[in-house]
Amino acid sequence: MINLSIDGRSVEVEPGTLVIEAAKKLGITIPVFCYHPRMKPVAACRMCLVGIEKMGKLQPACATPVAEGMVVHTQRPDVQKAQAGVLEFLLAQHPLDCPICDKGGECPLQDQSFAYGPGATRFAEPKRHLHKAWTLGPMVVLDQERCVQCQRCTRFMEEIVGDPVLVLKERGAKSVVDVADGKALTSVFSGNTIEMCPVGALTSHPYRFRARPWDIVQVSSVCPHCPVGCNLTATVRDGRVMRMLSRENEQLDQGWLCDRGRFGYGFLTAPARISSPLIRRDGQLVPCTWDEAISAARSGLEGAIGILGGGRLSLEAQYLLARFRDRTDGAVADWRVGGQHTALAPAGQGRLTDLDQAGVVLMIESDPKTETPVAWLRLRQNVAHGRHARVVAIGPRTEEGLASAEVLYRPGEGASVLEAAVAGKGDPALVAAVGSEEPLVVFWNGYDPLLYAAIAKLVEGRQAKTSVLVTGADANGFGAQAMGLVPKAGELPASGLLDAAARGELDGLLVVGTDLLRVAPAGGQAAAALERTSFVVVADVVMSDTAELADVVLPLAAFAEADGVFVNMEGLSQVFEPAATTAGVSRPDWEVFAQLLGDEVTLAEVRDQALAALGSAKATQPVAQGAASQTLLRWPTLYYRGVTPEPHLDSLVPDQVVEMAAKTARALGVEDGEDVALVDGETEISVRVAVSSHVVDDCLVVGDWPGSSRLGAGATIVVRERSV
Amino acid sequence: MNESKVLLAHADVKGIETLSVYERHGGYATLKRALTEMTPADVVQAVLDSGLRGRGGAGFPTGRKWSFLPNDGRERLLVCNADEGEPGTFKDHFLIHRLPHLLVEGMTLASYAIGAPRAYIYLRGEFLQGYELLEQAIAEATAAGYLGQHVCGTDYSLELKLYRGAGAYICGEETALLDSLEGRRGIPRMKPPFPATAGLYGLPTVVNNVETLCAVVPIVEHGGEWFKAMGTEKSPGTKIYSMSGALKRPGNYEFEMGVPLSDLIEAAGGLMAGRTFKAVVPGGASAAYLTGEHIDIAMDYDTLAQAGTMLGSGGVIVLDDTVCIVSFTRRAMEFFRHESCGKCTPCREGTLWMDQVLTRLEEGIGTEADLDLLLDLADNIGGRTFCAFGDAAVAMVASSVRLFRQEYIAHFTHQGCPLQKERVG
Amino acid sequence: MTEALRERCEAIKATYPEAQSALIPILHALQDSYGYVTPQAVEEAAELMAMTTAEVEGVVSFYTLFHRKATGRYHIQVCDNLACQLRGTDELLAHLKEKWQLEPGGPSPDGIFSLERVECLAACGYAPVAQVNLRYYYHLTPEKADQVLSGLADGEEARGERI
Ligand SMILES: Cc1cc2nc3c(=O)[nH]c(=O)nc-3n(C[C@H](O)[C@H](O)[C@H](O)COP(=O)(O)O)c2cc1C
Ligand code: SF4
Ligand code: FES
Repeated sequence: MINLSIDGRSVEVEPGTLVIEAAKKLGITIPVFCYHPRMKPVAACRMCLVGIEKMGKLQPACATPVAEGMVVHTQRPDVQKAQAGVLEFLLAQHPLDCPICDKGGECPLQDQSFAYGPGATRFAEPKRHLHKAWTLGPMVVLDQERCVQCQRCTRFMEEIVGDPVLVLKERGAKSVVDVADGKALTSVFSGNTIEMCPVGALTSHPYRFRARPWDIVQVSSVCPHCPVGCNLTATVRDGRVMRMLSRENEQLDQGWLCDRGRFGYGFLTAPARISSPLIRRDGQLVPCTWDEAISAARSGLEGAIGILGGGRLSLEAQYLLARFRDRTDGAVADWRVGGQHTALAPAGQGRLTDLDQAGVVLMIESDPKTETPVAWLRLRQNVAHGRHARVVAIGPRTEEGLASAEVLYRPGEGASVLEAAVAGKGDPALVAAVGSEEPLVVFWNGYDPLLYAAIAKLVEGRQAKTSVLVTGADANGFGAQAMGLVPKAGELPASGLLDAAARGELDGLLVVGTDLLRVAPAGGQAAAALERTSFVVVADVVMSDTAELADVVLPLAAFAEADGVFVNMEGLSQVFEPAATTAGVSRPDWEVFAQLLGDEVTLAEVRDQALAALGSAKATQPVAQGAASQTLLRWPTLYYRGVTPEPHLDSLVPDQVVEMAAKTARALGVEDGEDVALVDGETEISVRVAVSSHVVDDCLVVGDWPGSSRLGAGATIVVRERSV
Repeated sequence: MNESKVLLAHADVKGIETLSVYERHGGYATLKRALTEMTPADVVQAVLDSGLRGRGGAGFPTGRKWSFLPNDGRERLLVCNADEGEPGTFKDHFLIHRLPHLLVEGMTLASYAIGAPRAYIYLRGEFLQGYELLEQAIAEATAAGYLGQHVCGTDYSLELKLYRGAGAYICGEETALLDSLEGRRGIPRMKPPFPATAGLYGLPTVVNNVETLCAVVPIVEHGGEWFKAMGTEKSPGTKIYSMSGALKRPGNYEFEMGVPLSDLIEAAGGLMAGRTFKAVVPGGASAAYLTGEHIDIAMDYDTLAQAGTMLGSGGVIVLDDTVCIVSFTRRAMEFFRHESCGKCTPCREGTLWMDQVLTRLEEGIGTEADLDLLLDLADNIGGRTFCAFGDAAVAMVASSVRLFRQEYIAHFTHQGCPLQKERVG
Repeated sequence: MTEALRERCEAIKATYPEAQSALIPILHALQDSYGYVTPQAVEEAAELMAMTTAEVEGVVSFYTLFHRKATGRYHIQVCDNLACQLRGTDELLAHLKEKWQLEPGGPSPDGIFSLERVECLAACGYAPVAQVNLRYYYHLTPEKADQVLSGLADGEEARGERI
């Protein structure tokens, strides 16, 4: 340990600590712009200069490591003059548009000018003119005149994300932050740059000019878009969510969000929101009262009914839904409508912090950058800056990026490949990974049931620590499964329920928080199920193709409009708070199911019971669904996972492509970049061919975009006539 | 004092840039002798004994710099800083264009001394002709066995690579140079780690100036003591002074360190007829002005530092009475504004601001408060920037306000330059 | 990209295998070949070096010798820094403007010349100094400039001078 003194107070810190961190420990604030605790110091802005005895010049506290006996001064007159000087320089060319700047009122430059600034500027020259509203990408706009060149944004893209698409161009007083000519900042993580910007230079398209810091309230929330459960702060004005910021949680998100989480709140106020219960009369869905809707639903949901969905509900609602299932003879529930098998690790339930310690990471049919982006980002810090974990990706399609070795195999062969590797056979990198004596983290998408057993065996057989994180579930899939929203022994799983419904064997369907037609795999089945079942109730936040076919529609309040608990991929329960006014008369999900049950309960009671049930939930093996072995594979795409319509993110939706190996393309007679159609029976979808080295031969990979669920495993490619 | 030509002894020999002529004048004999008769430690010792101080500007003792390399088994590299761009300095240009083999020989000796199997010349991008000359020299030297595998038939091998920059003064700063050599924007790096511990490609690296490396040849040839006997105690040896400006015979002149400024001016032919001395910038545009009271000052590191300026790279710009200090200073500031890398706030914003103020003052618009502003801005830049560029940028302007305040004031009262804009011709 | 150019770039990569060291030499090679750093050159350099185009543009824009617009067949860089100023750069520039209609900016209408004012060329003792296609011309009086430019206009090669 090292002892030093700062402003006359002594402090003891680890060797290698920076002066600024040591000062923080004493509660002494040193003003900064370029310094960011998660990135290497660059000492560029010079705001943090401090006096250190025996050193001639003032030193940047953000980049100077402590030394034994060091004597630091942060309040000396020369330090104050330096701070005022730096601020005067930063403000000299800075536009005077604080009154219309999004950052006004929450701006470090404003705050520091007030605290450390020179009072009046002596700058009397014409100001530098640069681009004012420079679009960097679909989400991010830059005011180059406001930029203070702290490089936080460019360093974030390079150092943290590893994708240097945002850079400094030109030099000296002409330096500007920019993307490449004609390119856009489309990174999944682009929004973080806005939050890190210490001035109003980077702003978000959705939030620009929407609110001023003094007429907003901040409410704690949790991201509903994937099972990481990043912590959010909702900025609310007049009952509307205007913006989402990170509510840094070191154990989870480290202060980062992906753009899906940051900008995925637009659906709250989308036109598709359902504002009133609906009931079908004379073939038309028409508004009705809650009492009418509930009693219609209760009397209709009797006999052999299937309850589908629920992975996006609050834990409390899931608990009550499970109770409803238990009280209804013949009811079977399954949250896994997307074809998942589990949200819980078969063994070795992992924590995200395990990623920091991992020496080896195995991605099994998982694409964490798409499914759980912030978990991927955490892993990247290990790979790039930490223990430099080796990453091995296996599956019919592998993620591109962090993996140093890949093993491709046909859909359905995962378990045998893994078992062989455990036995020392197969790809050497994979064998070395599973046999490694270093801590191992397994990312698995949680789909193929055969892998469930294989992974459990892998964990059991390993000496060193092994952690499993399931990436493919809904945001609260863990909760749904823990609350028992899976079929019991002998009951049909979701796919079987849909098959049965399609054969007309069910009396009713209750579809919860999901658009079956978009989500359920295997062509046409969901449509037939909805058509052949005489009574369908849909409870959801937004209108969907599925809800259009319902007999009763129950409008739910969305995550930011009600209280609730989400359980993330680690099994961690997190509370979100109501921030916004809900749409119309829609109600919190737990309340709706309590009414369906006819139970008089309070949220507090339900939460206590649900959390108790969560504590005792075991990673029970869910009923197996048929093992996949199809040639057409659906793979998650970032901006479709949310299923709900998302106005802010529309522009980010990538082109629809069908990925395949070069060999497959040759066999099919198609070329990279060619426009083709995918055809399955009646369904025909236009896509572009993308040849990829990350796809196994003879397999077609499509995104989970609308309509792709109507393509069955046997879909074929039809080459379109080339337009001239 | 008379000129003492050591590095430049053969600079005027016709064809000296070719191997055969260079060899005829003793070229590569020192290298041959050193490699066969001296250990690397002997070479380092000779340079330590010579007291040679780096000629790139900072004057750091070269032998000591070489001794800093850690003994941890990692490969070591030598980088020659040939990015000369300091206004008023043109000695490296001269050495490269006239004596390319001297540089190659010096670099080979230095590489041998520090045990580097690879060495790089970072040549400023504008030196295309120099690039071709050095390319030729390297090819000749390699063919003759002075470079490449088994230098002079010994076990020592050296690969010498030429690298052309692309136009950025800041790349003369040694860590910005390394970033540029690694293919990035030339932005200074954080120190520590110093290049000696983590330089080019993260390997222990010595960065030396062209003139420094050329000086190694005569030092090894005649011994460190011989070199140390010249010049002053703390600034030993000879130095190439680049004389420019209002002189009859501008050019490079090699003198023992400590030569009086007046002798340098005289060697360069003195001032033009009818002109009087006004000021001198003794160490390139990064140095503060001196006026007539210092006309006999000893031109060495310490004496100039005591006088509040510096020897820097030895670029001496002489100004006579026809020169407008405000205009000249503004032009220097325009240079720094243009060449700031932009990384740190005081330099990026401060040079722009000062250039704006000086431009206005040159036009005669301003008050005395602007002069105090300039001094205070200089104070807010100097010592506060990330690299030494900031100090360099403000030296001339701060000294100009102190020494020539009246000339600035005359600009306000005349609403423009009171001097007829007459040029030396 | 022609096969020859690609080979040249690959050879540069082999010379500087570490880090991105080959980038700047490759950009020089592309500029020599295309006349300036065209958008295509940026893409090609990025592909060769496995970098993002943004990174390449960041580098290109930092260095003054990389041109992002076409220059004349003879690109004239006149130093107007301190020492040259003291010895007549202004007169030289005025002369080039008057006699040759050359001003800093794009190429002359016939595409033969373009002019740029540059910082110190490290040849202050031989001022005023200029480079034509990076070849030095020293002691440039207006008369001497006329000689040089006439020669170039007549199709002479810019060979420069030795000091
Ligand atoms: C802004 C700036 C520009 C510099 N330019 C040069 C240069 O052009 N040539 C040079 O040799 N050193 C230059 N230096 C000094 C180098 O950083 C370094 O000290 C020198 O190359 C070391 O070589 P030496 O020890 O042989 O002097 C510059 C330093 C600064 C701060
Ligand atoms: S002082 Fe700062 S901005 Fe100026 S050159 Fe050095 S690092 Fe760059
Ligand atoms: S915070 Fe230390 S220099 Fe910017």
